[in-house]
Amino acid sequence: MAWKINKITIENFKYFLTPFEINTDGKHVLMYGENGSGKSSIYWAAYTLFQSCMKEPQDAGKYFDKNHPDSLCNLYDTTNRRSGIEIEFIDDNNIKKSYTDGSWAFNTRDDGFVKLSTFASDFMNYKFLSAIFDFKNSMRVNLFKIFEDEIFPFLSLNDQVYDIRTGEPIGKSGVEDWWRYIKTCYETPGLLTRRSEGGVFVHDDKYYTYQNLISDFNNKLQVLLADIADDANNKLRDAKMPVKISLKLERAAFDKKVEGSLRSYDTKFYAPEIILTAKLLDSQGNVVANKEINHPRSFFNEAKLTKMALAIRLAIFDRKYQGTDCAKVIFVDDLLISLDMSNRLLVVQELLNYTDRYQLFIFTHDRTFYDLISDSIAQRNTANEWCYYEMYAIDEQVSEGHIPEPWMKKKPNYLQQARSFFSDYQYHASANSLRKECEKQLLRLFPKNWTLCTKNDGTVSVMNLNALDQQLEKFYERFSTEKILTPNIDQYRRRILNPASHNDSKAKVFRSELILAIDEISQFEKISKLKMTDEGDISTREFLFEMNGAGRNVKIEFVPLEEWNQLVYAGHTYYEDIEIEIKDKVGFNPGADKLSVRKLWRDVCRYTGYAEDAFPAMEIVIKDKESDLALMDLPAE
Amino acid sequence: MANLQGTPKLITQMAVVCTEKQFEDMCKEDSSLLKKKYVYLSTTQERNELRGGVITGALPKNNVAIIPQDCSAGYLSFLLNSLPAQYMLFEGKFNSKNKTKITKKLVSSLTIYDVEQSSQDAYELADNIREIAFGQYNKDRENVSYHRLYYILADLCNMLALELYAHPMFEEKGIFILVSWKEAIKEASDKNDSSLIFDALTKSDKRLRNELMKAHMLINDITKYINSKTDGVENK
Repeated sequence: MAWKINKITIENFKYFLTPFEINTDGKHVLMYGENGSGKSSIYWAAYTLFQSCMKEPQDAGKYFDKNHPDSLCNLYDTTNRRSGIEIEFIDDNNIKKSYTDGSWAFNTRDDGFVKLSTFASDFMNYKFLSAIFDFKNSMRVNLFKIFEDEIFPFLSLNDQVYDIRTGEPIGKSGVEDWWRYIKTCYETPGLLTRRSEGGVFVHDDKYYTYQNLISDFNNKLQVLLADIADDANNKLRDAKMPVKISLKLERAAFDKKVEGSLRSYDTKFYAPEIILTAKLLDSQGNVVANKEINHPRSFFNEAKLTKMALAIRLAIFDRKYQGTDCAKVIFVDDLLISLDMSNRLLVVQELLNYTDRYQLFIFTHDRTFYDLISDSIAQRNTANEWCYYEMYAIDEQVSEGHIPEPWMKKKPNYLQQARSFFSDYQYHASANSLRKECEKQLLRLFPKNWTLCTKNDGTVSVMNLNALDQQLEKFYERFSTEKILTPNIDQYRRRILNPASHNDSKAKVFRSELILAIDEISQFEKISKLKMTDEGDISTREFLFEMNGAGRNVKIEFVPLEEWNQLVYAGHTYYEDIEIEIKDKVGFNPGADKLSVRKLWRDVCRYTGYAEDAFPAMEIVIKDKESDLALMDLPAE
Repeated sequence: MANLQGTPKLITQMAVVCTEKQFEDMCKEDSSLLKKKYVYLSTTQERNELRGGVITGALPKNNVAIIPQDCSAGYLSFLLNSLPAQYMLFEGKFNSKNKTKITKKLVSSLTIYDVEQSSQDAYELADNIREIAFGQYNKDRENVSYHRLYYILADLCNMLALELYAHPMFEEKGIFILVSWKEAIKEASDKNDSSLIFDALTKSDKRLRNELMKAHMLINDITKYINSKTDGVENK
């Protein structure tokens, strides 16, 4: 990810009247914003600037001209304030470049960097995913309109549109450019020659060039759609969804021959259609019945439709330019408002998979969804790669000059909150935040089944800090860390992480303890928990443990019965002790088929004659059977 | 980084262009000519169709023969089937005509690039694969997969040729089609896996695929450059 957005500045554009800045420091952005707080204006500001590189100055400039019918200037501007958008990009070497699309400057036009960034980036909102649900059961799913609005502006047809008067390329190759030009040719009076007003078209050079243009558009679009469908089907297969989708192009046409006639043409223009159909697959990936499902809406439930729509959307995204000489950004604005929470989680996980190659800006007005994403980010140990913002609207009744204005704050995590409250002498609040941070970190680190408890009424809930803390020592033992990395948590929990038990008279003791507690609890953030195996490997993935010594040759094959993780802290890696099941054994009898991997390792080391202080490391002698990689060399994420 | 080394020349400086009759006469004088590879080019060219290729033996009717002297027949075929040459053969009316007549005179006026042998081999390979894909597509034009495959390979050939004709602009914009095509060939050859060629053209993380995309995105600059040069050839 070479180039990233470092700062966006917006002035007198949509919701923002006075200059508004959002700084990212090159990080991903997760933003909660209540309705009407301006977050969508940020989305559209970025969209407008990216798109401007392909526009003529008058087209790009109209949004910043207060008197233009398409103006996007703030409605409260009474002083002819300048209007525009500025985006600053930064690369890995801290080199910056800035682009402006506004009434005072316009430097994106035909700029190679912005052009590549535009074709490498994407803007996703709810419209595409919900479009697939927008058809009545009896209707064919024609996606052309949604492609026209949401997809065509960002895809290329890999060939240039040409002028029908000269046949010469006009230097544009975007799908939108092709489609817009084709429509314009038909709609512009006099461009195609007619025998009389409203009469038949003359079959001259322009006519044939226009027919070639439409034919080329159809051919190229058909190839593009086949590409997208292929890629979407790969994604559906990876998601183990037994469906094969198809995007069939019903071709654009002009002046068709009248049926039954030899020389009459109908003079009409026919817009293309993109028809989505599906077929069911068996477990081998073969089509079950060769009957197409023409109305997916009536056949599949919402979760499956979501998966299909998402596969198509991400397949479209994967058609994009992926070089490293530009900024690659994904803006997501309330993408999932039509979906239930489980389907949203599905989409979020998919999106977060792109964070290593793209800079993400995720905007939402849904607090629960915001928390869901935030948790997913924490689960991936990548919270420090994100900026968290909250946006609110200051109501015009109380704002200065009675003009609605945005109010944005960087949302600190619990640890930052604790530090911030501490600096502000708010010790009780600091301790409360620290308690939340501690809970959050233990929930991140512990196996899931250690974090849930069943209540008397049979319901399951997440444990509180008291219950979690009881297991901390056991957790470190499980990874055989040389020492307890956070030895005083229990003490802090009892004395200060319950600030309600304190009063102001003890504030001095509380303050000094709080300093120590913040320091120790902040260590959790530095512990990375990485997976060596995942859920699908349980009971299936085979590992091999071979040791020779004292004239004994031992070879044992086993499978894990739990997920297998490693902890990385201060440059050291610690491997988890998990329950395993023996599948094959030669030269040694472990005494049980199911046992802990560390017990097995110790027993075999002793059996093969190694001294207690000279056991070969577990991560060296245990290997993944298929790849022959030692545990320490296995990719972990 | 210069990724192309070559000089523009008239095709007649690198090959002999002849009519059916002339070819027949030449073969009568030197029968070994019938065993050598040369390029045939149909006298009726149709838009977006391949109407020429490498053959040995007698020249089929209604074709012009181009006999290579200082280059390979495959390289000539690659050039003649690609977009820049097609534009020239259609005399600037590529998009407004569906057919055009080819004459010896017209072919003789083409300018081509004299490039090193390893590059000629790479161009020839691209043309060969395109021709195979065209054969499949031609048998079943309704098959979208065949269409797609041919389209992708035709695009590769067109961009490789365009890079020859506008290489200063490609270099200025940091676009290296031939270099990445050679890389893809080498990888496929080293791993003895021809499917890697198709991967290089289609997989989103592959350099060749992204270089082609970049060229398309910056096509406006490339077109302007070509238009600023006489016949698309840099004045040296």
